[in-house]
Amino acid sequence: MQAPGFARRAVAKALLLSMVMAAPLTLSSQSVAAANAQNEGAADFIRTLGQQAIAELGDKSIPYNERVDQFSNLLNDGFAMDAISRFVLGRYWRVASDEEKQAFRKTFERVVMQRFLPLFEGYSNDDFVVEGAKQDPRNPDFYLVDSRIAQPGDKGGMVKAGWRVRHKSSDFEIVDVLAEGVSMAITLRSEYTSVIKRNGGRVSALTDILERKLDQGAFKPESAQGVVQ
Amino acid sequence: MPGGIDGSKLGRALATVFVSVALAACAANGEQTEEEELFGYEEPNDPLETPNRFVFAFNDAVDFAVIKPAASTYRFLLPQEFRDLVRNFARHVGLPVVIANHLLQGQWDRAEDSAARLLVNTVTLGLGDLVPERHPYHREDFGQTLAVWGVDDGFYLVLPILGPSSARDGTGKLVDIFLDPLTYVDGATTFSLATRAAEGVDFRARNIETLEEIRRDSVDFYARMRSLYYQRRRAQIENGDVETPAFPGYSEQTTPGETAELEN
Repeated sequence: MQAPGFARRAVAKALLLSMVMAAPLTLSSQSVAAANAQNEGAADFIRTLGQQAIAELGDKSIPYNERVDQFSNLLNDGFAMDAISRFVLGRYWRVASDEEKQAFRKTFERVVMQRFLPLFEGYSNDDFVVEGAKQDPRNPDFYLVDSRIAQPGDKGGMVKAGWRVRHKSSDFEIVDVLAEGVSMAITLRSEYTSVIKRNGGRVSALTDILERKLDQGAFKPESAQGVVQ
Repeated sequence: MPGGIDGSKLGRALATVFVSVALAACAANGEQTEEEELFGYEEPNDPLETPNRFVFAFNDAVDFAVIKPAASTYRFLLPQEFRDLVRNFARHVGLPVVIANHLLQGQWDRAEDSAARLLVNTVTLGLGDLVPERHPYHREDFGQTLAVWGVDDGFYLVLPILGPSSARDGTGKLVDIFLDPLTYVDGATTFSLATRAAEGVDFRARNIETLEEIRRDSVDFYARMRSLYYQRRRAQIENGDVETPAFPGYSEQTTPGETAELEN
């Protein structure tokens, strides 16, 4: 009676083996589904924000000043502006006085608005396409959302832009914008901390320079240069 | 005590491990703000900043007086199609160096692409591109090879005329000269330099507006270019070789499937 016993054991072994092997499979497919839902959520957040921005900012029939106010709201809702302001000042955030911090924060917001508001003019929903999202391989708290945006001006092409977002209570917020492999936050931080360092470590010196550039309209994109608002 | 474990050595090793773990923990929990921790905070590695800024200003003057006018004229006088021929030719001449670097990095597929280009496009004297889809052009240099071998960027270095570079990539440029078969051909130096110059003017012509915009909206043009250089190199190195293990601290700066910001 060797054979049946052997066969039973073999069957049991095979069953056990398949269970052991299947367990991680089911586990991982569950976590993949959860991750996909999160990724989809991050992509939806950017999609909705983009459509909202195009609807509210692209409409030239709305007076410019009103659009500026709307953009300010969108910016503070959708972007982690406090965190980004802190980040771009690097180690000087800790040495800056409260007044300096607040003044910089206000000026910085205007810099971002001058840079990005003109980009939305004349955009339609086809000009902003969200392609998908994935978890940031380096930090699971972040998501990278890929999008394509119509090239400003009338060049007809699309440029890629990446959005680095993180959770904010029930929603998401943007912490960085990536274009062609270059991070906006990291670039600005290198530049801003260099200016502060060369001005005796004073954050107010940077704010003054940014204000001067704002007056010149220097942050407007190429396509909006020479356009009087 | 041959074969046995040396107690004092083991103790020292354990102590070292303990101390380094403790140090690492201190570094991680020190006074970093939330954002610094999330993005990874680094001071720019630029001990030569003063001479670098000097060379940068010199390059800027040369660009203003010579290179940019040449690039504008070139773009104004010659149609896009002709300018593409110039770029194709310059790329073609550089292919042996590219192939050598593919091989040194163990990128067999890309080596095949570049070898096929070298073989097929020679029919057009390197002016045309007969296989743009099947065997796309890959840019590769010894600086990237060193990066794949695990060499860090090293300090920032602004080279006269050639512009932003680093200790690693500057070394790479030198090695690339030795990897180029033309270096060993008598009388080919002029041809080689002329090709590089044409490539430089073509590159500048393709980026007139982009550079103008970067210059206009930066508050420290030098620091902006330094940051862009490091970030773009990282993106090139990462995108150039997917199989390479991620370099620590690099992935937060890249988005998938993208090329350099400036048009190559």
